[in-house]
Amino acid sequence: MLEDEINAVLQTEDKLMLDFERVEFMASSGIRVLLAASAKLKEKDGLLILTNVNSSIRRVLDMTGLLDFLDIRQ
Amino acid sequence: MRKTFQKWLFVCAAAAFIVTFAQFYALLSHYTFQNSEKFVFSRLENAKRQIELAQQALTRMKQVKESEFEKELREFSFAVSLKPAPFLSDKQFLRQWASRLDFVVLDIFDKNNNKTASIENEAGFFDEKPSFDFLSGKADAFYLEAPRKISGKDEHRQIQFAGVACPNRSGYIRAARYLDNGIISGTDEFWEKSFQNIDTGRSGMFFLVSPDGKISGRNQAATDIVFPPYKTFANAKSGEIYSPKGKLFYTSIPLTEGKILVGVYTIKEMYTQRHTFFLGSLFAFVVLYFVMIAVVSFLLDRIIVSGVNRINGGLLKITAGDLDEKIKVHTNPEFRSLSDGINTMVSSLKRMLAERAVQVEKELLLASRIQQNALPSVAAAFPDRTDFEIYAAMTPAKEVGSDFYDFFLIGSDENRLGIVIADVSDKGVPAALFMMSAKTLLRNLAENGCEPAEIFTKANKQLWQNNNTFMFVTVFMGILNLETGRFVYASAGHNPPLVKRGSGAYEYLTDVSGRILGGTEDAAYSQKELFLKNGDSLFLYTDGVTEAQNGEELLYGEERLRSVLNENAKEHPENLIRRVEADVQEYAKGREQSDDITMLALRYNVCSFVVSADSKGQEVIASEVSERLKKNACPQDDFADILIAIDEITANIIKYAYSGDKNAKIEFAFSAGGSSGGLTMTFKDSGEKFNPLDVEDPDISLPPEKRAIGKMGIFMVKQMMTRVHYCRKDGKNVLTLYKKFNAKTES
Repeated sequence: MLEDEINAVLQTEDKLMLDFERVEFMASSGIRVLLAASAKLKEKDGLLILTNVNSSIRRVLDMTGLLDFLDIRQ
Repeated sequence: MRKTFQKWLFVCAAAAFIVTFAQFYALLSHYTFQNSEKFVFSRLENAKRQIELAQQALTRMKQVKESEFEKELREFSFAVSLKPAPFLSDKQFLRQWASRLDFVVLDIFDKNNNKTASIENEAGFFDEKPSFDFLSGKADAFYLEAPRKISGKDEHRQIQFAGVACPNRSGYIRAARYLDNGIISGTDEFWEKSFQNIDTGRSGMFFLVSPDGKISGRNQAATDIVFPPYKTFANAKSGEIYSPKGKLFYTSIPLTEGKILVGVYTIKEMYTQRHTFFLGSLFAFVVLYFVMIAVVSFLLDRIIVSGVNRINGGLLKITAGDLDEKIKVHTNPEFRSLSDGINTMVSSLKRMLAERAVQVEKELLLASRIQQNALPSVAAAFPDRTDFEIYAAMTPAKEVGSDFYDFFLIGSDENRLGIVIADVSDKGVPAALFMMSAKTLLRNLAENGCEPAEIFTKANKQLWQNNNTFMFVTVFMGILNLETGRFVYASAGHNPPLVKRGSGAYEYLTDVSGRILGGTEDAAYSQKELFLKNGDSLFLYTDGVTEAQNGEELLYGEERLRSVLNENAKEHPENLIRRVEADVQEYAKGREQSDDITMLALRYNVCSFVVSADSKGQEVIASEVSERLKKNACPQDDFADILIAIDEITANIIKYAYSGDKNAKIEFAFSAGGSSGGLTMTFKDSGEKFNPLDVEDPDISLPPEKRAIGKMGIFMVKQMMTRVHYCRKDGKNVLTLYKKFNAKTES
């Protein structure tokens, strides 16, 4: 599961880049993961970057008010 | 009219004829009688003249005979005076002479008045001395006595004595001759003789009536005539006498010696002139009257009857509908004025009718508009509903039609759709009014929750009660449960609709039939049901479609309708109806539409199935929906949203509804389409009651680290879907999501 993987990585790293190129949709479960990751990195003062976010996911992030809080890059 | 005229003319002419002719006949009778009388009288006068002439002749003859007698007696006396001896002595000799001279008495007297010779034997046979005094008279004196009858001699004959003095007054001779009675006036024989040769003409009988009552007649065949007494004839110049054979007419003229000459004629003879005249004039009269009738009839006909007939002919054309027809009968001022009067009246009538027609047209247009407004509009009728597509069209034959259709959602949750199609028996405005009340009635009953059979039973009773114009309506009605696809339907004498199931062809639904609505007080109706699946369609129509006629008066027919529908089976309802309309129009090829054409098409789009409440089920749902969305050309963004929503909801159900119950199920139904394009999904689970809409929205203004876990999914679904609806029904949670494609997002 993505959540477990991210948790594993965050134990050692404080910078995370998630490439959404091959992600079509993201539901609330995905959001939760992002929220958790974001919260953890914030504690560490780390960095979370999202790349290659498609319009649908972008919309979802916007809808949930996370667009402004996340670093989205191409 | 002609016949009446002729009949009356004939009657009047006949009456006039009879009166005239009767008068004429009377006059004629009188005249001919008078004429005959005159004629008879003149004949009588003729006869009288003839008698007089005869009598004169007879008298003259007597005179001649008397002068002969005298002459011969004188000659005899001379002969005796020359040689008296033989005469005086020889009786034989004297008799010879007497016989030769036709003397029936012959006596010779001497100058002393003594009989010296006689042809008679007995003395004293006739001793009478002559009255004449020969002795003192002149020599050759002659006397002639009047004829008389004497006894002893032939008493039927008259004897006339004569005497002549011998020369030298030596004596005298007395002789006597028979004198014909017939020439002695005053005798019957004299009268008969003079009566003998009367020219009586062709007919008629003449009689001589004497004062002593004796009647002598030329024609003794009249023995049976009853002669009145003499004084009748003496008093009246003419009159009637009777015979067994019939009445006779006489006329008389007095003769000498009191005798009366009577001419007797039969009445027939009196009127004989009349008879011939009568016949001749009858013929002339009849001809005259016929000619008169013919002329009058002809004139009347020309002047009046034909004029009236022409006017009638014109009026017939007008009453048949030709208000432009003008009457022009101007034979006389009266007809001219009548013609003008009629024409004026007709043109003002025409104008009034035109004005009225315009008014009626306006009212009909208004009524038509009202009616159109009363039918539910199909354009975007249910824009947000994807579970069915419906379209209907009614094309009236006249301004106001009497077919109708109706469709409406039933129930507070609007999960049932009622569809109706109907054909009212009559046409025009009354039918349209009946139609509107029937429509309202059916809808009300359906909205009250009745099913078709009950609706019809109740509606029929109601319509029958209020129906005093003998109108009725055929109806097909069905109620479709949009969730289950259950379609329950009934027919009241209406054309069977068509249904298309699955991948099959359109087939006629003939398993329900019932009496027309409004025809009888009690009628029983039955209903049937079937279950529609995704893509199944219904097609309802009225007989204006199947009974449309082409140029050869052949009907469009049910088979042609079915094949057109099958050819266009994939079209959505609006297109389908347009195709059928076009085909009917093409078939009818410009022939005038005689009946309202009404159609209603319905397509059911709901696909429903049950999946297990796990990821597998979730996959099934997602793939079914994806497939449909791709078919329906769903925009990409909407597509993504929908899949996410499916994910969220199913995840929610899986996680919470059943608390891990492995056999739990999700009932899923969805439909895509609708007039505006969209998708509807229904998730049903029989888990514990949970209304996702009760969940509070998360505070999205908080930064990620401050966010609470959870509640995001529902929130996202609410944002992404156009409409979310929850209800708890039959122990199930029912969540309905609707997503309209290409909806503008709010900023």
